[in-house]
Amino acid sequence: MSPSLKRLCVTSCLLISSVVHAENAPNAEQIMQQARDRHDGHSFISQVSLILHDKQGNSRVRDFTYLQKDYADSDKFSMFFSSPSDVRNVAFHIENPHEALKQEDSQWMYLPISRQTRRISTTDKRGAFMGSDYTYADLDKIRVNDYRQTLVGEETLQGRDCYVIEREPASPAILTKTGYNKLKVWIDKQNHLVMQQNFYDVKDVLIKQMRTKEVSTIDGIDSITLSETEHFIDGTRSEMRFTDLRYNVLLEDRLFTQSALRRGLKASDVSALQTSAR
Amino acid sequence: MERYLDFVERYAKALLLLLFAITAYFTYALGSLTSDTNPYLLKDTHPARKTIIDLQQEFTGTFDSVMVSLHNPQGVFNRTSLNALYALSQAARLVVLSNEQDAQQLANLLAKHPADQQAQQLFADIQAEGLSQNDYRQLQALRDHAHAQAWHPQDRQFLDFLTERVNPIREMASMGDLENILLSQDGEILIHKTLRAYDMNPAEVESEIMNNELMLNGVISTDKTVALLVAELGTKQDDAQAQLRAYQIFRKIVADYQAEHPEFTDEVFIAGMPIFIGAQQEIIDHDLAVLFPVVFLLITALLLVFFRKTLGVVLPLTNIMLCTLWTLGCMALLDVPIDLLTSVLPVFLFTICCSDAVHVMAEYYEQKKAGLNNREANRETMRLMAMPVVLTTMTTIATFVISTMTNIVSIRNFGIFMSVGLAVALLISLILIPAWISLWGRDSKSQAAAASKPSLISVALVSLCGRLIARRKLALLVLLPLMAVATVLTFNVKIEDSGIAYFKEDSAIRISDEFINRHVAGTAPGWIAIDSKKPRGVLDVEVVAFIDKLDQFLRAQPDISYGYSLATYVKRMNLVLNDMQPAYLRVPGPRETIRSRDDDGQIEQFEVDGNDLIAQHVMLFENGGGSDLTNVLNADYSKALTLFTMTSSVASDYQSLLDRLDVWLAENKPAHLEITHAGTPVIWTGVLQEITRGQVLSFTLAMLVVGGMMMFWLRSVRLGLLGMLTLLCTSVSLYAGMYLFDIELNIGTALVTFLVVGVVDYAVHLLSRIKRYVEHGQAIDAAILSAMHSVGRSTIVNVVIFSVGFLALLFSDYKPIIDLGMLVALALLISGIMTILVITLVAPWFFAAVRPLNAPNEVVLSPAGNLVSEG
Repeated sequence: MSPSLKRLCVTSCLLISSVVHAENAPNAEQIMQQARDRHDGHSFISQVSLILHDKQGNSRVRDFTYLQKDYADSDKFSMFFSSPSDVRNVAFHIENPHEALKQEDSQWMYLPISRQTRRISTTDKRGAFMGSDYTYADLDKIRVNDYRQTLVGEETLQGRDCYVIEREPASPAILTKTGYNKLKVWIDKQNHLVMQQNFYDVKDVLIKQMRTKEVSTIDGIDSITLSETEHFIDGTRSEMRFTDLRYNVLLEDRLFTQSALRRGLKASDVSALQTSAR
Repeated sequence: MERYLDFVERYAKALLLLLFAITAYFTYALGSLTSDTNPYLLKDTHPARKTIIDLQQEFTGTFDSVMVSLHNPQGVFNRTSLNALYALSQAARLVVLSNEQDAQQLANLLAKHPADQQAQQLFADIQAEGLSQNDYRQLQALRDHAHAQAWHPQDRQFLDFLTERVNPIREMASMGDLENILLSQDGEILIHKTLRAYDMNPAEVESEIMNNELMLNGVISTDKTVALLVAELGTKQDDAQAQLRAYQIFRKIVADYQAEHPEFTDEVFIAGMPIFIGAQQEIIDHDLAVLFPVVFLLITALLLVFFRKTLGVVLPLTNIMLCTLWTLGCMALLDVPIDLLTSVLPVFLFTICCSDAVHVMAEYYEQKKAGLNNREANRETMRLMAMPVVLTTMTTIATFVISTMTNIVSIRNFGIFMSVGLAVALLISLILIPAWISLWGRDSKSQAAAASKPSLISVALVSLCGRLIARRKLALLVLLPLMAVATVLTFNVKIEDSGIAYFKEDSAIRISDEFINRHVAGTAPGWIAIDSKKPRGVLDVEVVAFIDKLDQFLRAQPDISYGYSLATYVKRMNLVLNDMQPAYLRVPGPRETIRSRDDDGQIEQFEVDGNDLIAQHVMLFENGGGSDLTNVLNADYSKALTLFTMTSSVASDYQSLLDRLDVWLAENKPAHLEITHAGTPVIWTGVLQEITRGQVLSFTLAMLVVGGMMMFWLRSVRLGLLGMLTLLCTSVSLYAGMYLFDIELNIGTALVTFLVVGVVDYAVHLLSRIKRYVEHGQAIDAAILSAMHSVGRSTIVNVVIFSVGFLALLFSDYKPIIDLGMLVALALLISGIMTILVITLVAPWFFAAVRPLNAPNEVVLSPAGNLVSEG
């Protein structure tokens, strides 16, 4: 075989193998879609402890009950804070329309002191969620089309094989809304959980990292039970620990309304849940 | 003495060679001399600076800032101006202050620790993609590692600086950066940046910005013609280099935008600390380039006029040239940078160090006039002059050493290196002059002709002193009341620091600073920290009401243009949560009645605790997207911070405000709160207090030390006191002159005290010569006239050299240095006059105890002052 023919054969083999490989491996967008659409039941309830660590090493814990329910056009979340006293009875309600609808989400906060429910703008989601290192943007359900994503590699994290994807805002509005110029996300190949996420600010500086510290299988669903976010610039760290986590619970629609925020989550609601059918 | 003279004569060539070899080494070392434009004259451990550095650990918005203002006489709420502001804001966020030079220095630094694996690993990470903002964490780790491993202090400092340089922008404030709190038409709470994109509707931006006290006078002028962008730099305060780079980068950002957008025609002004530092660097460069040649020319011309001899010019010039090179080389070797004050060191060294050489050379020529040959004139000169020169120099050194007992770093460095320079000058003059003369002193022929001709200066001086002696009582009657008045005026001299006002009126810094101060937030920020000593302690009605009252007090003060505090945010949230009803733009009361709709849509009314309401407002702001709260609240809400900006850069204005503030706080502060002041007003009043303290302390100590040295040298308490009296008279006359000519005592003119006290040549030379004549049999008045005849000329020459030499400082671009030039010239002139006047008038009382020596032979003195035996 002449050298040029040999070269041609090698090139052809490489091309064919790369096409085959590309057909097998999902692209970045597909991976993000899989992460967004992963099976996590139609409803969900959990007790959550939000633990805030300051740079001096002091900690504060804020406890709340977290409810989620899927609707035909959206996912709805409600959060009811129970302790400590300075946040007791504060409640949030968030409605995330499905991405295909291309609608903005909505967010309400109940202020127990003045007994007011206030809608909070979602054009800026940089605010610290209850003073933690998680912003409202971090707690959002994944929106694939808000970003341009690139699969940059594969890595093993905590013994789990992950895709590594870089995401850049698709528009200046997204950058303004989240404050992130870039995200780097590690997605578990098996269960499509986000195992780690790096956050880059508008200067492209890595400012914080969210890490999945514990994953448990509950009701057959792999679930994050301990997440941690470390802010590198502020020197602070926040943890979110999920306990009493249950899926596919019968959650009444009235718990996902603005008026539910005012009413709060009663013990009777919770006891009813304990006996409710799955 | 004879052994020293023999030694110098025997090894003259070798000694000269050694001197020039050392000079060559120091000249080489000069290449690494750096400059420091750090405007904070105090060390960072000084309480005035430490308070703000401590606050920076807990609050954002407390660092030095670059201020960029856009001016459009037709108003800035137009698409072009807003787009420019948005673009500048976006570009400013991306500023990096590290550069290739830093990368190289980092590589050099790491090369010193090849075996340190942790450091090398971090360095490899940093190097992987070049030095960038994203290396911030690795640099932080490397910096902490360097501190833990106790690397060389300078290397640690470099890493401290570099860590902040790679990611310098902390906070931004502008219409595109400050968080606005609004209520939308449908009741939605909006906490967002107002100018969020290009091509926003100017009317929309205007409606959100105007009538909001968070914005007005801060990022927008009330007449809407000026918009301000503030970029807060996290760089260390002492990292003047980074500030300088920031100034250059911001200038380029603006220039690039203007070049790319010709439609943007707004005037742009840049102010803030970086431009201040940039302007100082320009002054240092200017002064180093201009003052040195000027003083060189002036001194050369004076030496030519007075000596008209090659040696008389060459030797003093060589002496001071060598001592200047040694001193500056020494600074370079010790890594002490040139700053605003030390940039005038060459002028001081040239002028003061010239004095020793002039005295020696004048004496040498006197000896030659008296008929001695070169060698003998040389030896006799050294016999006569070595000790007085040593004493006068040691005295001057002592005062400059005492001047280092100040917390003002520039003055301290100045004192240290003046002392070094003087010591070096003394050493060189004691070697160079005799060695040189013994090798090449060939002025004998011309001297012989001039030998019998008395100098005009001496004749005039003797004549003047003769008249004073004849009318001693009358002269004293005039002098004493004058001194009393001068003493009173001394205590009324204005102590001041005028900051920006010291720059020339047409300088960019002054124009920008004055413009911004006229229209928007002032360029001098101050902070008041309120500490409740317990977590969440400031989320309290009484505390927030107090802070609000404090805001109102501050805004009512002259020179304060803008401010914000926890109360500003709480009031704004209160307004927003009460549907923008103006009556609610206030701090909640202890009990508040709330009206709300219940589940059934019915209005319900109930009372709530004001403290709970405040806590709720803060929580809502934080959760609504607001991150600016960290400017006014610390992490556990135990402390709150109030910002105010002042439009003045004058220290006495700051002091006046702080005095009023203290009185107000004494009356209004809740007992459990602790208050701390910080920022520009505190730093500059701290500088003022240090100047005052330093002056009193240094002057007192210097007087005592100098007096003691003169007593020791003249071996007489009385004569020492007389010497001190001449210094005191000089000092009060000078301060009275400062009062009358409205010259303030500031960071520059403070140096004059040390010169007045330290430069005791006139008194020492004159007193020692009079003593010598009295001890050898002359009556006191005759001795005074003889002394005036023999050393009067060199005294006058020195007065003129000092006075004219320091006039070189008038060519500086910086007012305190110009003032210093005038003042030193004036001071040394006064010193010369007062020395002659006071000694001539009061010497008989002080010399009463001096008795002629019992010499075995009758001894007379030649006009040159040396002893001639007639026995």
